Amino acid sequence: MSERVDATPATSAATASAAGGELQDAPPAALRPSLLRQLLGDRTALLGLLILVVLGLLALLAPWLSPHDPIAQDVLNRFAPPSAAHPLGTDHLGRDELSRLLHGGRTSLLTAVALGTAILLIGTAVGLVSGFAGGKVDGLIMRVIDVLLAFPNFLLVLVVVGALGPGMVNLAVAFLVAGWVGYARVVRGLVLVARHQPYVEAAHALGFGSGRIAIRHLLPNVYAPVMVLWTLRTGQLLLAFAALSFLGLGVQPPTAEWGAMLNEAREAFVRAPQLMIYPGIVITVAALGFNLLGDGLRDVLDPKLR
Amino acid sequence: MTRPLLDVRDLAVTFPTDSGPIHAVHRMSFSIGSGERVGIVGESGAGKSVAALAITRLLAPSARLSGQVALDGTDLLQLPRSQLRHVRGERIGMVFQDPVTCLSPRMSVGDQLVEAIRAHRGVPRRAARDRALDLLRSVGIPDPVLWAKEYPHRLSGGMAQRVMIAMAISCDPELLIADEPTTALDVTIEAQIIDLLVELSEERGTAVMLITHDLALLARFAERILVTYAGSIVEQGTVGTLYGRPSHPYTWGLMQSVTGVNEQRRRRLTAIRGAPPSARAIPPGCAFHPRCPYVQEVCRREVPELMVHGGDDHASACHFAGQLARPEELREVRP
Repeated sequence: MSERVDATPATSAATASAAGGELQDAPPAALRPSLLRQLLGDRTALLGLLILVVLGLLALLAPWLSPHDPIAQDVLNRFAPPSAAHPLGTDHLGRDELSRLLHGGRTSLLTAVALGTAILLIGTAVGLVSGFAGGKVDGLIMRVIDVLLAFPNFLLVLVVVGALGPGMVNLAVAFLVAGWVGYARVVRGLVLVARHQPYVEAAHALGFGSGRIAIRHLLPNVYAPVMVLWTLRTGQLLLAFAALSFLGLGVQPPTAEWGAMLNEAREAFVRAPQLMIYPGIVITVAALGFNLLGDGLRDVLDPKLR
Repeated sequence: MTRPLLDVRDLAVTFPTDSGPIHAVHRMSFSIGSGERVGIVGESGAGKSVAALAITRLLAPSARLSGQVALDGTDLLQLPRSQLRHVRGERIGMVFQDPVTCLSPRMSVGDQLVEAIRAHRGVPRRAARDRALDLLRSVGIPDPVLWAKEYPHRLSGGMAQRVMIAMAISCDPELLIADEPTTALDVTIEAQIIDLLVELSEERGTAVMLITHDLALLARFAERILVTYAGSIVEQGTVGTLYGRPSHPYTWGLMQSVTGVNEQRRRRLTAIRGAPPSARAIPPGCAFHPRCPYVQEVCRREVPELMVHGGDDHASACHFAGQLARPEELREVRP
């Protein structure tokens, strides 16, 4: 019998890749060693990640970092200029601006991340079921999505908030209702492509159950684009959240939140413009962080763009 | 005769489309005995693969199946969908054409094997791992511990196909269906894979149904051969009979269009004239009649039945089976 030339024994991964032309050299993007290491190698992603990590830490540690209680008023000390006690001065009610910014990050940033993740999970689950089940289930889910997509996203949020009344919880519900559709659509599309991959069909031939196929074989195909979507959508979420709070539909005073702070400072804009500039800057920087991370992530995950 | 392991009766597969139905498989009947190695040969579009997928009902839901596919007496076509899972992988293993794409790219080889074992057997992870390594060893993968950790893209085609075979036999199925398992591989590897299939079949008593368009390959592998044309079986017989005394003009055509390295004298390769019929419009009468050099009036009208006309269950679906003289160069072909 002929020697089994194709079965080159290898002693390590390194020799395996050198063991002749039969072994392919370029592994698919998602398989390269460490996603994190690659992200750190990508300058855009690194910057975005850095911004988010710093802002996130500041927000998380706000109760310990803040020099003052963010809602403690000191009416005799309104619009105070920067000083040792108040590094960024005080606002129209004499509250410490720095403390409010830090606590505002907790509300704005952490809510955006938590809400963005919740939307991702719901949307992905629905998309997975829709794409995998197909047929009537898929048809029904897609029609619901079509209806929701027919409304401009922002309008939908306003309608839900209008129906439920303003407030942070209601606003979160509104974003959830309006937001999952985008993910579901994307995930369903990816699943539709993946379910016809030979290895998924082979999994059926091996008698694997539907749940096992969906979670172990289809889901891994979906996560890369969904991660990119998450960063971009969460950035948008942060902006939208701030915008609605600015309009008075979200976070209610006296809770510190960047959008709400902008709104409160608006009335004293001429006298104390810095009170609008500070929250404006942090909102912009945070959104920038998400977008940079998203762009970098896309570049890393899609080798064709290199 | 004992009951065959797999008994396919009048299997027909039709895909309804907007421009009329497509008859991919057209009244196909055959059986496979326990532990038997059967080869199915035919041109592209002859319905070989569709028939194989129909047996385990892996076709798209739009496919219309009729007939009977009895596995050890149970009609798979009547089985509720929830029961199918216990047939696929557990009683019938399948191996497909392109092994590298048939393995999940984001899971290591060992994990996939463990998955396949645990999908059907409630064995603990450790036991499944040990069995996975045994399986890799039995399909000829050296150093299984090392290779089990690798991802499919690092495997050569031949190794990937060995892994696929290991997965297909992981639950000791009674029947292994291999749909052109070597088409994507080069010839030296091809021979090894075929030898491996023979070896496994003999060691484990697994029946194997090998689908291919390569007649020479079957000589090395099969005990019995089925020749398909336009969704039906036109000739069947043991390797000896089919190669020694083929009787259907289509089988002759197939053999004349194959070249050999060791041929005694130079001969002209003959192609079968015309093209296989579209599955939308299978010719009336004998489906091969528009291309058959021996066509008679009756061929255009009547569908020939697959009839036993020689020893060893040699059967041929030709109105003139056993009456036509074989082309000269096929008279000396040895199996």
